[in-house]
Amino acid sequence: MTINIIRLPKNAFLNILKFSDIQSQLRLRQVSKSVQEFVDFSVLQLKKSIVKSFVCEEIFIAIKSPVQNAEIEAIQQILHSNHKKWRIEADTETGAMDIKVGMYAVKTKEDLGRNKRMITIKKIQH
Amino acid sequence: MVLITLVSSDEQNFPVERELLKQSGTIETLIVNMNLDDEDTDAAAMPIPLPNVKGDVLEKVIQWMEHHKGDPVKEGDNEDNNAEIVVPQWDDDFFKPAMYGSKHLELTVAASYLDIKNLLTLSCKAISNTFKGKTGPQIREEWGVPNEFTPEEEEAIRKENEWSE
Repeated sequence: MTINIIRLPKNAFLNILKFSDIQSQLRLRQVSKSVQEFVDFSVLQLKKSIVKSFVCEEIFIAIKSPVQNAEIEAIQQILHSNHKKWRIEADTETGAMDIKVGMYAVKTKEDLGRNKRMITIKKIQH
Repeated sequence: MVLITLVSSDEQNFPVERELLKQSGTIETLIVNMNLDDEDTDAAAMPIPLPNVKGDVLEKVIQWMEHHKGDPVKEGDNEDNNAEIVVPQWDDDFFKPAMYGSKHLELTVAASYLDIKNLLTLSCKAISNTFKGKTGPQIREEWGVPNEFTPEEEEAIRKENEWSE
């Protein structure tokens, strides 16, 4: 019996994703369609910052409110991996977020319901 | 020492020390359901069939459980400690010969089926470690995943991820 990595039980694959850093998760999306779909689906299951979709110059992150430390960390990782200066401050009690990112404009939408907010980070300079 | 016999899908018998089997949630449940811990029960006469695990994989699982006898169970789904999980040297040496092949994946599937949390956690961590610094196509090649993307789709997703490179 041959088992392809994409045939692993979902709980195992979810573990693998959780143990992988964000860059590895992104690269896994390039492995195959099945893996891409599973990664996109699975990150929605993770209770961390959710990287919903990536476009070259826009990053969309759905987060819970109040913001969790793990989510701040994940956003920091994303911005850090993009080799740009960033600074992020968040009040984990109230969910208030003051994001100052050198080359990025940050907008939040509060209308997603279920205590989720969408943060859009757009590159504004090149 | 009480021995309980596990029977693999290819009907190989493995007498295993009762104490070791506490690491497997699935086998522990079967032992309870079959009353194998009762004094009146002849446990040796009641083998436990494991139709989803082949003999060579079960042998590896038992070898792993013997080494980890008495270890506390670490939960792999605790978000806070994911980054801290380190694959110990013994386990790294244990996984390495079969890494990138179906054997390691079968071991991971068995760990999931047998509900051996520590084995599943370490096995998954070992797999995730192989992704570090690799591109999508490199991971695909190493793990033998068929490429389902058209060249256009592959280029589109590469562009999507370009910002992170």
